[in-house]
Amino acid sequence: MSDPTPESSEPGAVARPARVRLHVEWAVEGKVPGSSGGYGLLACSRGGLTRKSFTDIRNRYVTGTPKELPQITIGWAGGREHTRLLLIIRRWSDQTDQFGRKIAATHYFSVPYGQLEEQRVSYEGLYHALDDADLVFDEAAPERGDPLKIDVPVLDPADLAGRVDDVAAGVAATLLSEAQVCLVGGESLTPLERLRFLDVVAALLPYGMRSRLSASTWTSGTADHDIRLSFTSTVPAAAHQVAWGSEVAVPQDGQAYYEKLVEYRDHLPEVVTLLAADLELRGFTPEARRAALVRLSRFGVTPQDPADEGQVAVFHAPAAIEGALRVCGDHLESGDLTWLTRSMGYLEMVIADREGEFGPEEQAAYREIVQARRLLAGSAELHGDLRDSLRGVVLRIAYGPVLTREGLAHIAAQLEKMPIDLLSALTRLETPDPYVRLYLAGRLGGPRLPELVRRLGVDDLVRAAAEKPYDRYVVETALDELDQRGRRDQDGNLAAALQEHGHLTEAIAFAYPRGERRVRRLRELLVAAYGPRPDRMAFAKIVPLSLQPEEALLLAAAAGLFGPDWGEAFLSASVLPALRDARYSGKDVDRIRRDLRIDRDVPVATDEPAEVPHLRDRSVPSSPSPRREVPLNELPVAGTRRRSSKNPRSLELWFWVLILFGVLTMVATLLVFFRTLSDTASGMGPNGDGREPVATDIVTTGPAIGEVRSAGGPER
Amino acid sequence: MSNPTFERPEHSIAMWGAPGSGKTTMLAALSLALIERDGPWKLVGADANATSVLLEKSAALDRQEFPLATIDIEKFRWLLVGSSPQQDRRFGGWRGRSRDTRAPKIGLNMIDPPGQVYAGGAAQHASLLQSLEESRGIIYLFDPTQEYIAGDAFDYLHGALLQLASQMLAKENETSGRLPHYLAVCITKFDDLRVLKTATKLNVLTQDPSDPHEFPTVEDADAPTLFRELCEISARGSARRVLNALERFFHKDRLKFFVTSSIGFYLKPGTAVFDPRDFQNMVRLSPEAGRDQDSEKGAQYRIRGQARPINVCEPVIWLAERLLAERQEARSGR
Ligand SMILES: Nc1nc2c(ncn2[C@@H]2O[C@H](COP(=O)(O)OP(=O)(O)O)[C@@H](O)[C@H]2O)c(=O)[nH]1
Ligand SMILES: [Mg+2]
Repeated sequence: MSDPTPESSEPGAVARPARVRLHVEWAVEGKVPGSSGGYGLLACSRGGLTRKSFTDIRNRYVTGTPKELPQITIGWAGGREHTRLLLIIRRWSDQTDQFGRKIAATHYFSVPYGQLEEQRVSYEGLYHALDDADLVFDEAAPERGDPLKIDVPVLDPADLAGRVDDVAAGVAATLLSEAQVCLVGGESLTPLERLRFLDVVAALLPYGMRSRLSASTWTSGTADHDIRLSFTSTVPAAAHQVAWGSEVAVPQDGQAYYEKLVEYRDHLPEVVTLLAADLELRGFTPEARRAALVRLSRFGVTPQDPADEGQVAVFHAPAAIEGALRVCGDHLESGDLTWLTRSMGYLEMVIADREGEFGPEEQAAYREIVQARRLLAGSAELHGDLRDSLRGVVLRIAYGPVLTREGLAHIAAQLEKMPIDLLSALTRLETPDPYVRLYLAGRLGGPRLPELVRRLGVDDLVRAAAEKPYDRYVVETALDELDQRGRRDQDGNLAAALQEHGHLTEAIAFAYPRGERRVRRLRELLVAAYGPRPDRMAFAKIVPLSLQPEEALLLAAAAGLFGPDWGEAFLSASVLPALRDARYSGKDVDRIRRDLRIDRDVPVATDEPAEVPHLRDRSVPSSPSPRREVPLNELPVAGTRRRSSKNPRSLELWFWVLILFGVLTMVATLLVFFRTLSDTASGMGPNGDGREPVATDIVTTGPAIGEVRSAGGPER
Repeated sequence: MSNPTFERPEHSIAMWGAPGSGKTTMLAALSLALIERDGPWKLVGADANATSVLLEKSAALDRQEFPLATIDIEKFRWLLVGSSPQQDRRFGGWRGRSRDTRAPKIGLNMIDPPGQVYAGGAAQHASLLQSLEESRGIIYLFDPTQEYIAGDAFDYLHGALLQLASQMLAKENETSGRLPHYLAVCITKFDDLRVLKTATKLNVLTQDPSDPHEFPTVEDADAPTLFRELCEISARGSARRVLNALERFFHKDRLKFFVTSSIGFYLKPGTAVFDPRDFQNMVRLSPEAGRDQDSEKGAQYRIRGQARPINVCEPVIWLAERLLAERQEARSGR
């Protein structure tokens, strides 16, 4: 496509710079003189710059109603193989409209990027070649004009490098952040001088970035424009302001690039040459920006001679990375932020080059350094941007790309508290392990939580909750999610998963230090898994007793003896004492007893009319208060029956009770785990077992189970 | 609650009218007009940028220059600042409800598009429609002089109006069948001889006794009559459609007509009162007289004397007060 015409092809000519021939499409925007209509497309050349694509371009290059012309805007259009560089020149015409207002004529030029493969050109070169080009079209067919053929001098790195100053370097580096850059105070510069400055800035970036770079010699502060870099007198609120001639405050993201430019300032012609050779289409995405840094950093490091390619390997050797981490620690300690960002820039580059992959032994060494030099712990004092970048780099090098439980434990061990922003940074690593994910989700809470746990299956959740060392947040988050899933899906998956993991009783005992909370939480989980009215067989799945035939016989006989009240007797005489034995405090047992609505945990006769619903009633979770569900006229009956069953307090009865008691101690052993786990188990890191007071408060003031259910959601 | 910056409601007001109908000039005249007008409201920029733009605009008008033709949609963030209610009870309507004694501030995002976007198909059409949807106030400018020559006002109303209506009225919760905007319909260029003549013929001219300059005016109540009459003399007769369309698409009680001029009438230096034989404030520069050597083709216009805007703030204040009242109703209704 391109056909460079080097000077040698013109014998006898004076030494002229090499030129490249380009085919350029064009369009003209303006008004019909003397008309009352508005601005619009007046003419364009045959080819890709049609009325339709012109509309898109026009939309993107809004710069505002001009005060002073000419104005030159550079930009781009299309993508991939259709990428074009644009040059837009707006001048006053000598005409006016019907209202006597001057008409501006705007010429749009479009250069296919592919034509620059052999030789690059500068924006200024394009401008000179295009500004006085004759745009030829037929009045009868204004949209079928002739495309232009122009000869443009090839980009001259030495010339551009010679014009680089600190502002240009600062602005170029600033473009490697998210900032929209507005230059103020350049009023005394002519449009051409401004364009020449934009050219120098562009020359300090890889050439391929021009495929997404927009810049203008003037923009209006009152137009909603997206021009990335422009001279202006009014700066939009969100833009990054740079005062002409004064120092540029390069944002954090561009710091490393800026440092490199400064470092190479004695070799700028070579640097500009290197960057101009980088034709790969790049935008300004974070990856592209990182790649630009890598590209620049290669200068002087990348051997031009393939023979000593080993240099690159040395450059990225573990020893070098360890060194850089240590240096980061030193700067962090001394508070030398400039140098800190330099070292971080290097590490960023290493990450990009290695695509975030580091071996386990390598990482073990990095982790040691991170811990010893307090790179995570000590970063808390840095300001937001810098802290985030440092953490991002450290985490990716020493703990990424997949955050494992070991990694997580290692991080937790370095910190007294896990700050929210660190947690968020951790979620940016990959977290396939459900435990890790719940660990982060539970602590982050809020809107991030659903997104983190959504992908986890019921199995994953149960397994993670059962995993040791127990972690309160993991357990609670898993339980909350399981509650919801169980109620929603009711497909038996939750029940099956729970049976495999002992119904998470140990984990629940760990996460809920208070006895009666434990029972309630466990019961909520059972409701989620088996429904509010499970069938009788479910009982055996929940409490898988394997009775010996004799024991079963005895139990049957005893149950017959106690009649409908045998279950209550079993609870009060066997289960509650077992809990008491398991070091539940009297108060705790009392609460559980009240929760189960048993008057006493030992069978003691009472004279007051009792108000005791049957077990069946208790399992009705949808009622806000099961008591109220019992019809009033039933109460005296229940009371009467109860009294009558307890009145014959014979020695014989006590005998049988004791026998039964003995048999059922076995049952009680099921609950003994409470003892071992109640308050001694240790979690992961300080936050693992130190519950935040806020959460405790919520627990103590939480609504009753019935209320919770009627409110349609789990607690918290 | 007490944070004043949060208390300040923001409203967007869009200028609507054919190219050359006087949108940009009216915005430039607004702050000048508010300073001369005897009333509680002042116009300031919402930030330093907006203020400098405001200054720039009124300075150009003071230099007797008309603004340049708008090329891209411009947005101005301005602030209408009233005086505190204790000092002034005339504008008590909506303020009477609360015992707030702070000066009311109304944030205005004025949107000034190039007229051609209303003809549809133009580049920034989509972004304009979005702005219109967000605005609840519209200043619609009808230039009778242009209508007399070209009769194209309807062309710059119809397309965009239909699109706006199809976007907004198609919504599920829309039941009234009308657009929710308040619409200030401004007949512009009242200072123009032809417009003034029509008003005279219709017998709608009056004079504000408190006006030391004795300028003729048209009361707001008579503005619709004048508008209707001006429709009759439209070149292509399509102006009547403008009126029909406005009445069909907007709530009748949210329409108000104003007769305006951004530059007003000329007063000969040294005289104090309106001279019916010499009042034209717009002058045409002959090409030779033009300061600009390049301007061989086409006439250029300038303002002859001082700009004395007529009825320029009233539409804006009317809209701002309506929008504020509507918002407060919505809030107290909740
Ligand atoms: N007679 C008269 N002419 C005006 C007035 N306002 C604007 N004009 C004329 O109308 C032209 C267009 O005004 P402008 O505000 O740019 O219109 P826009 O395109 O709607 O923004 C100006 O250049 C003046 O020639 C006015 O109040 N009176
Ligand atoms: Mg305008």
